[in-house]
Amino acid sequence: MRPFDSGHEDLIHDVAYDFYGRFVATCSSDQHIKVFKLDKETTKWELSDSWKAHNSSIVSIDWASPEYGRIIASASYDKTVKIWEENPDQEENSGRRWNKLCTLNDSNGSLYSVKFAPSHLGLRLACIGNDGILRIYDALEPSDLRSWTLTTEIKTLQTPPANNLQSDFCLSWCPSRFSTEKLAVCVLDQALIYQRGKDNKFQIIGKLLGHKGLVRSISWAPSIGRWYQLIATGCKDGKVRIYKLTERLANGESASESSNNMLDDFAQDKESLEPSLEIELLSEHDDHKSEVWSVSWNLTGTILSSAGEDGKVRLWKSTYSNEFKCMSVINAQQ
Amino acid sequence: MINQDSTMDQDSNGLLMDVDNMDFLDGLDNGSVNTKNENSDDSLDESLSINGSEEELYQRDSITGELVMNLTKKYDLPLKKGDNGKLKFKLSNLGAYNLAYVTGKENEKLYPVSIPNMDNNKQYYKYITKSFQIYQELGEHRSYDIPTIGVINSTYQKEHIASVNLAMEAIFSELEYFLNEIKDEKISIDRYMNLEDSMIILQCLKAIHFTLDTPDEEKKRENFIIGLIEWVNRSDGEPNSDYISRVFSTDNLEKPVFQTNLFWTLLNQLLLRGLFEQAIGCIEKSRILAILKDICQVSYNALSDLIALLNRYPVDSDESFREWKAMVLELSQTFSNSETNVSGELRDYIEDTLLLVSGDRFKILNYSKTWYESFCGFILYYIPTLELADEYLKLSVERNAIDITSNWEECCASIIKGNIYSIFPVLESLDNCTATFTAAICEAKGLLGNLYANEDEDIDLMSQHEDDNVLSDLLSQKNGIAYYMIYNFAFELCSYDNKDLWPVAIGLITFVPVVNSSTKRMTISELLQHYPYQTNDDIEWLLSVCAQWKLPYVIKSLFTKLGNSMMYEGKTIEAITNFSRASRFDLVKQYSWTLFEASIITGKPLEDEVLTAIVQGNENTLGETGIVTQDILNSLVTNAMKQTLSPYAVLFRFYKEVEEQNWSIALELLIELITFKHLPDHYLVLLITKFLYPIFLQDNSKLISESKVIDIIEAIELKWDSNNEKSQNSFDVVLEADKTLEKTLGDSLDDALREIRSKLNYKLCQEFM
Repeated sequence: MRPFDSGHEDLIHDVAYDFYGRFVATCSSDQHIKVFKLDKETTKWELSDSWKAHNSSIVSIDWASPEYGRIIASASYDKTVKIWEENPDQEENSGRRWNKLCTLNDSNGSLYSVKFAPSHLGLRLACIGNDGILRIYDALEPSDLRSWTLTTEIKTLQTPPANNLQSDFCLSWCPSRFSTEKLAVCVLDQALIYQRGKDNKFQIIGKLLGHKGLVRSISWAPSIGRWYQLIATGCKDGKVRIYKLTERLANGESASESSNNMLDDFAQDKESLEPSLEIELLSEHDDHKSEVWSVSWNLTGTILSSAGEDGKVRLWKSTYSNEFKCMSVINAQQ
Repeated sequence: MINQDSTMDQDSNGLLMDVDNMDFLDGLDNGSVNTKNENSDDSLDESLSINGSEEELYQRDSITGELVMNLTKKYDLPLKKGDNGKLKFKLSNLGAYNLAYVTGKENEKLYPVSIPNMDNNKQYYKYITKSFQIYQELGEHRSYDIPTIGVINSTYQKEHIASVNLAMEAIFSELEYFLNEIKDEKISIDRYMNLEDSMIILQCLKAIHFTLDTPDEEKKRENFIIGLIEWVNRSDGEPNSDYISRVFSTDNLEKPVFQTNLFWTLLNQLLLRGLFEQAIGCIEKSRILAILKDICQVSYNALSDLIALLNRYPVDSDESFREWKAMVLELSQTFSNSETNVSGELRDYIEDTLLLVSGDRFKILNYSKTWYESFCGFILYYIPTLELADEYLKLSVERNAIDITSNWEECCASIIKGNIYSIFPVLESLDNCTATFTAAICEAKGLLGNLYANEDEDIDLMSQHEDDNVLSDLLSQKNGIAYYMIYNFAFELCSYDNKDLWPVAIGLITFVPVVNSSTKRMTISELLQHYPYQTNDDIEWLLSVCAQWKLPYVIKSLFTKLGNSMMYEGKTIEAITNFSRASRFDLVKQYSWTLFEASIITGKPLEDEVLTAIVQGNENTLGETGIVTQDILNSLVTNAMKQTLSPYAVLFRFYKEVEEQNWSIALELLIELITFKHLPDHYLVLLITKFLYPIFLQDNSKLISESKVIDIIEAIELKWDSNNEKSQNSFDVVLEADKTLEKTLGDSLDDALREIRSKLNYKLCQEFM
């Protein structure tokens, strides 16, 4: 496949695939969102629509699960998150195919990241920005996607970072249906694991230690076929880190063993489970020798990608001997 | 015997291996194999031709030593040489469609990247499916479970070995067929060579471990010898045609070719590789026999006898080999003890060849250029047994070291040593499908002991508590390498943009015996949610797997997604049906009310045949529509829908009565709706302002009984909320549709309520009067 011009008129900040990987949404400093769809015949990405979505740079974008329709959330330096729904009655490339459902404007600072929760948690999203407050919103009424309620606000920083200092914020939800609701939140050089407790409130249950600079990217791996969780981070200190999280119940049983019984009705015993978390730094790689800008996992959490300031993409794969090894290097530098 | 022309003419071509039959070489020489992957039509080689040298193309990463692949053509790469940049990359759920981009000035391009080694060739999909079928058909023989104590069922053992050996043979044939199919296609040369290397490894594995123990197979020794020779000769294609031509180009009357060292080296190399016909052709083409016949009868006889012996090299049994070898030894001995009329040098050459064929270890080693040539020579001429394989290998590699830069040499040496384990990382890097099914069959054969099974519990790699969870982790080391690879491959298949591979993936997960079914069930349930269904057949398949594994969550998720898709396509009833099947009764209710609202706003029944058929609920009516049959209707209407659509059904009847001017029945139906306890508040406003007021309240000739007025008043008292935003919106919609109403009802809900109350009062008075 050939490279293609996105049509954006300024920096591209984020790209996000829909659930099946057939559509990709991009956002940019040009304040526009673009949606491309994959043409299976030509294997090319074709522009489906483009529209001005915010009044400042759009830095993060995400798709909701198809169980809730075709919905996109975007976060911008204009301090708002906007939620968009596709209207198939409108022509493609008309600029009107995506209707704004809602604007969430509670943030006091530029927003950096927005992510929908996995579908089993309902239509829910989390966002974080320069004010250091993690906000979680829910569409409590599935019949009314225009109505979103701010259900959680967590102050992750004592004081927001000074404007003249470089900062970064990012987050990633635990995608597993068989684990208690969790999300990883990166605030400057800290990576925190939050979990919803019995009281329905989020608490920090662990930290991903070792970062010596701003955490630029975090990605929670799908844990298909595994009883433990993996989280990767990309850091300004030049390292890709992979953490292994093991949940254990008070009785010594692993959380996943209990979850075997939860296949039929996941919710039934969720409240009674209060697993503790063991966090282990599985591996640390400084191959980029420079700032690591992004990390992402594949569908099954078996391949990790990292991209760095060195102009290289590295693909990491877990081996039989339980190590992550660089399986491929892709060069972007002439 | 492979690679031999049936007729050995005097042409030098007769001395060559039959390259025409070596299909794997086709296309490489003539350049028909493009160095591009099918789905990366402008990849590296193009950039090579435009931009630079082979060195640039095959640059290695300075950190890992891995080959570096360029994102696109070199001149089109986003970062200038020496420049750093904010490069980002996102892996897609579809392995072939990942994107890289640079958050940098003046670069708004997106760079699609496929996961390296992902082959999206249709022939590859077929190869995967065929290999899976072979594995599937192994049935109970997929696991190695042969008892070694207690009552041993020898028939089962024989069956097991025969089945597994046959499966390996079949996998090998499928790989051969696949290579043959793609040789003319536009595929990457790297990919092709990787598959070719896989083939060499498989050929060695098959010959060494899957041939000689086949029970009741008369030709097993023959198959072994042929397999061995095929392996050695497939590996490097030596001696190549140029070399043979060069040897014979020295032939002249003054110094015939047979007096040169090159000739005898070539002859011996052919013999070591088991290329008997080519070796005989070589002797014949050299004209040595004709010349010796006149000058040295002893040498002539020796060579003639050698040709005769080579022509009937025994492959059928050990016994016949012993007889044959005795004759070769006798020939060699006789020649050594005889006087000859040829020069010392030529005599030595002849003697060396005879010694080599009689299994002389030193001659075999001396004339071998590679370790696998001497290994083959030992098997062919020393003692043809694998019991001495270790010894042969040791001697061979001492003389000619293994080329560690080759993908296959070390693997083949490991296979010979019985260290099958170590080949899989290499094989996996060459082709995951071949590696996985090979590992699975090796596991079935019992060739793979579990590396971690017998180690102490405190292995560094595994934390203590993992033992508790071994059965619930698909990718645990304790499951063994074969099952680890099977799961990895199954996962990989789900990243291909091909739904036909999903049954293979699910099948592979199902087959593995070492993981408990709960874990499999959890895994399958997670994976299936990503199944890219398109047709009804796909959905049927998905539902059948869900039923088999009892996965209600996936079914609910599927029907919810289907419901949303239908909604986007404007098929509301089908959408509601799917939401109902997903037990998303909130959505069933919501969209049923949406239909109700849409109908009120338009003031007439919705133009939807299915919906009309449902609310009429009458077979005769169904027949009239000509489209919606009772069966379709039954499949569409769930019990939940019958309930949620009932308000619309009443509304539908209301329209009918209004049309027929049966005002009292129409009023009754309307009041039924107005007083319906589950009616959302804002719909009360809609019903009253849209129908009750203009049709019944404004018209003084239409009387309303006292009890009905009271019912209406009670409903208004209960649900009319002038501050309700939705109610106001509904009222605005009514006013928008009928501008005249604003004059009487006003534009606020309070005004409207006053007017309605006044009219109701009037109706009461009318009734009283």
